[in-house]
Amino acid sequence: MLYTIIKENTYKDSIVLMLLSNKLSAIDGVSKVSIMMGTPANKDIFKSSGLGTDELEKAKPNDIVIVVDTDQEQKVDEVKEEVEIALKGESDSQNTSKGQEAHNWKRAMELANNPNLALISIPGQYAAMEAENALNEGLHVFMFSDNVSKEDEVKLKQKAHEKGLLVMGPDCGTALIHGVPLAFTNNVNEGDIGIVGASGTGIQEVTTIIDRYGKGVTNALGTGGRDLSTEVGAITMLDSIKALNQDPKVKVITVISKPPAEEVQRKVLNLLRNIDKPVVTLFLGDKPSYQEENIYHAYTLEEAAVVAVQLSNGDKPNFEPTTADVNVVLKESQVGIKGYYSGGTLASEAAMLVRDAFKDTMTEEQSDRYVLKTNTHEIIDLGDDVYTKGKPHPMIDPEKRIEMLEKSVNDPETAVIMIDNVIGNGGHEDMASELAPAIKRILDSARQDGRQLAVLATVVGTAQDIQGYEKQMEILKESGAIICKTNDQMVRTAIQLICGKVEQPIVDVQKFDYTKENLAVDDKVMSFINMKPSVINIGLKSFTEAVQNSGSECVQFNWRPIAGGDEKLMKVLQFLNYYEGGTI
Amino acid sequence: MILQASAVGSIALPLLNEGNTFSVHSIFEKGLNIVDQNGELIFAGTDENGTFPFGILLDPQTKETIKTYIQVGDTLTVRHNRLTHNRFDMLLNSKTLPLNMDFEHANITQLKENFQDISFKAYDSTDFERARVLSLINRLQDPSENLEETLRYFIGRGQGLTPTGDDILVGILYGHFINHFIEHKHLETLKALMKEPLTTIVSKRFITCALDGLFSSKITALQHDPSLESMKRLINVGSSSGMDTLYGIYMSLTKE
Repeated sequence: MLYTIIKENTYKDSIVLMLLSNKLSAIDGVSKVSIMMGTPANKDIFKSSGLGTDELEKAKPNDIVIVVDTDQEQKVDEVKEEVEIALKGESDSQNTSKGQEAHNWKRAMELANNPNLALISIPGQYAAMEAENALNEGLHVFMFSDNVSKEDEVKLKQKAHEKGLLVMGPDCGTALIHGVPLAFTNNVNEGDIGIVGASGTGIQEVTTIIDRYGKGVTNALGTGGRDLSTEVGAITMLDSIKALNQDPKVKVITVISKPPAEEVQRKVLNLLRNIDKPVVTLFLGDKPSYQEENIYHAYTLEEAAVVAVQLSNGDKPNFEPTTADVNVVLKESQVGIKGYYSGGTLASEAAMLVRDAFKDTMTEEQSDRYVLKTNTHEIIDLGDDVYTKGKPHPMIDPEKRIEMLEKSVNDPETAVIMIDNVIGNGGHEDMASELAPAIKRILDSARQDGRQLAVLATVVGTAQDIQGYEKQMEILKESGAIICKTNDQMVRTAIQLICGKVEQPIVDVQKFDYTKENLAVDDKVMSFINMKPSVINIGLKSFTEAVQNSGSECVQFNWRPIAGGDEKLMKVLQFLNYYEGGTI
Repeated sequence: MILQASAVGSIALPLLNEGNTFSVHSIFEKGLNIVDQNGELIFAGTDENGTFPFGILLDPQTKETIKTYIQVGDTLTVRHNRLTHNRFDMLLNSKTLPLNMDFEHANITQLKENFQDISFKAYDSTDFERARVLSLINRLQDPSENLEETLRYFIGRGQGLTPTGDDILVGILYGHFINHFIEHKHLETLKALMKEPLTTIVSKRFITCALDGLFSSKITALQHDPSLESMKRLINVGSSSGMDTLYGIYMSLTKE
């Protein structure tokens, strides 16, 4: 009896087919076997040698055809099995890492398919140690963990730099690596604007505005908030800028940070002055006092995004701030602006603009509970440690925000309340629906009290985010909130409502001397930003799913502290491991 | 990861246009085949089997790296003079492989002499016995012959990815380029047959290149160095491909 096996479009070295042929011939009960490509000439050979079958006719020249002559039908399964083994070969061994989990580095490295990134979100006191392990394994590091000492950060970043690797963080909440969003990041279109940022929500605001303008960002590299401190010296930012400069796909480089230490700012600007590509900088909090030929110094996040879009389109930078239409009648006594933010950088921007508008008339109180506090205004970052101790972040948990909203309405001086809704990966699945009833309640309550109130809201997100950008805006709008397109627009609208105004800086173009810099960057960094990362995720499991959903490979490393969590003993073991070059 | 191609063949070069997309067709020990939307094939791999006009030459390390990243069906796109895969970019800004069309340098006498030391007897008990191949070669010189059926017998016949009959045809075509004997009409017939699905995509690539006088470096080495060593290096190509090709060359040179 003849059995035909056709393997469509299958190519193997001749030697593989010959070995298979020998193997099949040796099976007891197989009287004849022939393996050939299914060309017309070969089909003739099958027929003339008594191995012609009807199925054979279906074979095409690029198919491997196997015809077996055996009287024992059960032998066909054995033949099929041998064929599968032989034809499977080395090329089909991929994609095995998905869904597998590891409990130690060795296993994680075995399971992962050429990993190049460790995503670390374990408690801060252990994070530095695992980051070092990751660097020793030749991986770039994204540290979501906070509470890592500055000394450890310096040590890790120096080590990474020497090895041609990047350390993003600690306390890095946002990054896009070749289009793959890590941690709290929006789903942004890919494109020719490259971003380096020391601020998570700053990156989110800028990338989402760029996306909504129809442009895109392929790489947004987070550095962590302390990268531009004197001690760290912007190690990650400088390497990231060089990488974006070397990447031919990047047309415009955008740098976002709080105002750095002076000598660090000098270092960053000197590097940027070495670069031919157009650059946009935003040192949020500094009002630009000059412009440069090739470096546009922006004042706000929206301005940085809009100008990056204009430069990427080859247009001249031209940013005109806007305000939203608001139909609210305020009493003369209503003069206060309240901002209840989940995004720290957005809160800082709000404080900066309010300060700028009322600098001559207001007196600030110093308090670590507020980003800005005067007798009338208050701007709060509810994501600050002061508010999150033992509680989830306000991007995930609406409770604290609702509490603040309810409280604010009791103050008859309040004119405007500003809230942000940062959607995207890592965020609450429907924050708008959580906040909407509270907004409605406070608007009703104010009305019953004989006054009106403006609740302004802005959604940081894109149409690709799972929560749905339009849907979130719609829900907030229905609750009575006035929707602003950006945080910049929201704050300027609030300021205008109480008769203030923020002037855009009008500045001259200045020229600066600079020292020549070596712009070379390690190939490992270039390849990192040029392909979807293959990730080992140490910590929060949801990050693994997010990475896998974006089409990248990720192995979950279920980390447990060794030595019962005894830090001292762990450090000794870490040292010994490193010393011996082994792993536990 | 950024990788660098060592060299690019002259037939591969025009296919590596900005935006052209390839899919991985097959992966072998020595490299891989990629095919574009028009079915045009490029072999990317090492030169252990020689270099090919339709090849991208890789050093062994690069080849190994690519093989760990890639699987059949993956997409590669040409962007900014790079072959881009989602796990690596391969820079193509490398030298072009020489065409080696200086067939006039072939020392036919020397080649014939060295063929004396190689036995082709094993072919006598196959579908390609001496008489059959000789008959084809003789008829290829005769413009009155119609060789379509005979060529159909050879094309795609035999073991391997490049079936024996095809390798013999490539050898005969090389014999023709160093010592013209095939009537134009028959080259046209073979060209026309190559448009039909008669053989594997790799084999088709070898024959269509050979019709244009383009051969792998292990074959063209014979016109620069007709030594027995050169022949042995060709014999070592593939499991039988090199030998089959050499048999074709031998038969076409010793026809008289």
